[in-house]
Amino acid sequence: MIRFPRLMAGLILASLAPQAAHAAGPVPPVSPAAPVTPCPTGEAGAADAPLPGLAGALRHGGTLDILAVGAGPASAAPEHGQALPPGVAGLGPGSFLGQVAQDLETGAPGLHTSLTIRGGRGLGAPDQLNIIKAALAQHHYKLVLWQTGTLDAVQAAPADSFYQALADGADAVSSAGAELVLVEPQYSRFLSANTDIGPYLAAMEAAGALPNTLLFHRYDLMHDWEESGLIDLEDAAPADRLATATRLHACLAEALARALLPGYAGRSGPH
Amino acid sequence: MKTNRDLRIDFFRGLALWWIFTDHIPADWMGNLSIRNFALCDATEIFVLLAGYAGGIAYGGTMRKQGWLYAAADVVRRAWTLYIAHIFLFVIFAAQVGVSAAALDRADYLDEIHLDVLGEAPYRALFEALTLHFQPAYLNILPLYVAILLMFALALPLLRWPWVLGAISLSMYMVCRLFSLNLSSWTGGGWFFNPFTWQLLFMMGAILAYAPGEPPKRHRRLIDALSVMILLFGLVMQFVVWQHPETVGRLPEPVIRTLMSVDKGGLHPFRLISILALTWLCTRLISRDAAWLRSWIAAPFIITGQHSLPVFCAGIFLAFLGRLATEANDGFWVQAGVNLGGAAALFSVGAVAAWYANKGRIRKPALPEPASQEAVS
Repeated sequence: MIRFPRLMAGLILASLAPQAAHAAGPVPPVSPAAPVTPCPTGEAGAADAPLPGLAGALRHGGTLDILAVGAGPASAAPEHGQALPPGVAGLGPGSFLGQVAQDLETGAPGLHTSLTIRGGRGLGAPDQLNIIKAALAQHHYKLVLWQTGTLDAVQAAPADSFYQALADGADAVSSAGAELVLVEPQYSRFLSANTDIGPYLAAMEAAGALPNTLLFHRYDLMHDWEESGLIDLEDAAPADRLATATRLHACLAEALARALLPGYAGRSGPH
Repeated sequence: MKTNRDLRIDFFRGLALWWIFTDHIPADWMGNLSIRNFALCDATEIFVLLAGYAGGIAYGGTMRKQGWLYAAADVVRRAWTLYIAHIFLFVIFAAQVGVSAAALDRADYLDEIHLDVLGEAPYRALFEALTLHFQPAYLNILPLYVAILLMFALALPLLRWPWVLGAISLSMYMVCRLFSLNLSSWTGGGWFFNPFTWQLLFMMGAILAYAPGEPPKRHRRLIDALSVMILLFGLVMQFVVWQHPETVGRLPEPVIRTLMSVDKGGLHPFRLISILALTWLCTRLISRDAAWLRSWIAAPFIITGQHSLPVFCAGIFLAFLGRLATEANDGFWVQAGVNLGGAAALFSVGAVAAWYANKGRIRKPALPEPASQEAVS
């Protein structure tokens, strides 16, 4: 029997502890621990221009409804399109997306975020597109965070179909009066060595140039950090892996918040 | 070592097996030197093309002497051997990865290699693996080979009419690419390597072996130039486009869509012409009688290439061991140990297989022409 990984367990416990959340409804952001060590910065995570609609919302305060879509592990949500329980890696309020919401609130005083998480295991971009369309039909969101590409690359799905799904998603989000942030897959040596990731990253680059859309270069950023030894989750000793994963998610969230919020120094302080 | 055959085939099969080994170790520095970094194709294309070539010689020769039924029976028996090897490798590899994931607390191994479903639904996963509907990462080449061999058993008589076989094979490739026809996969998305498209490369190899026509002398320089241009295009794609995907966003929409369509699973035409260009240039530059093919440098590749099935299976197992080692320590000595140790282990497997294949046989003098070149020995 395989033991439940400490990393996953830690992430779930960390996110559940501060505040319980409703699985099916909007998930209020929690306050995960800010990274103790200042996060590295990098050009790969910087955006050329923030999203104009989001910039307005940040200026005026109020509630920012965010829809986050991605993939989760097996235990999270076996059915397509179901809301995920909080805390799962990559999708919970205590992990990457939850910390993005927290960073936005920190960087824009007066702003309150309402984070709704959708997704499920084994979903490629076309399936995620259907989830986004259904969610947009039910509720008006101002911002959509779409983590995608990993499964498509691993399964070698046609990259042109992947691009088409992204383009359709950008169109659907724009038509719904919202803005889209595409989030690249997480870098790993396995993904780099065992998939043809290039066409999928190129597809995301092309989709990121569409109106009301911004691309967050998570893959490049993580690659840079790993190459330079700043944050290397795969190389971390087992005893350090949970802390490294926590720091990685916090720093990725901070990098994305910096791309969305001009001048934001991050919760880890100025650099 | 069998030397009465075209050693170029064995050498490049051995080289492809070495690249498959290094490419499957995510942090292996030697992986940066494999063919996939410099061309649009990789070791898989080399392996399948040369498997077709070897199959054309071996089973085509049998068909000439003993007829279609006898040769087809040999092909089916070979497919069965490969199937058994695949199932055996599946069990070994699943155990290796599962135990490693538990011991090292790395459930992500299971997710990455897609063995997580084996833990969730073990009986169903085993059933789907037996029917080849479940193919974890690293374990998708042998099912492709099995499926292609079964097609080849039916197509064998058409080797006598290579243009007909070529036309049918090309038509199947085009139709299946156009309509995305593939065998289904339990985990969704179809087979990673679509056998209906990859068969074209195998059949091309078989045709080249069975009916080797002289290349047109008038157009040799033209084909040389075209091949070099194709390889240069591959270099640009690798070092400019895929290394810097941000350049794609600045390109016109039709160009973007063309670049996006370059897939490995369906053997995109870019990948196909890349391996064909490489093959052409290799045959132009490397003589069948090249002295270095009989040197000690080439010998390890030739021996492993002549016994590719056990070497391939051992390579998959060793590659995961190499991954564990390089993840524990990515330093120079570990890298050197993994690559030198891996090379020695693969060569040993090939040498043992060669010994078993030849034990008890009376040594015969080398023949001037290849008597046979087994598909995968």
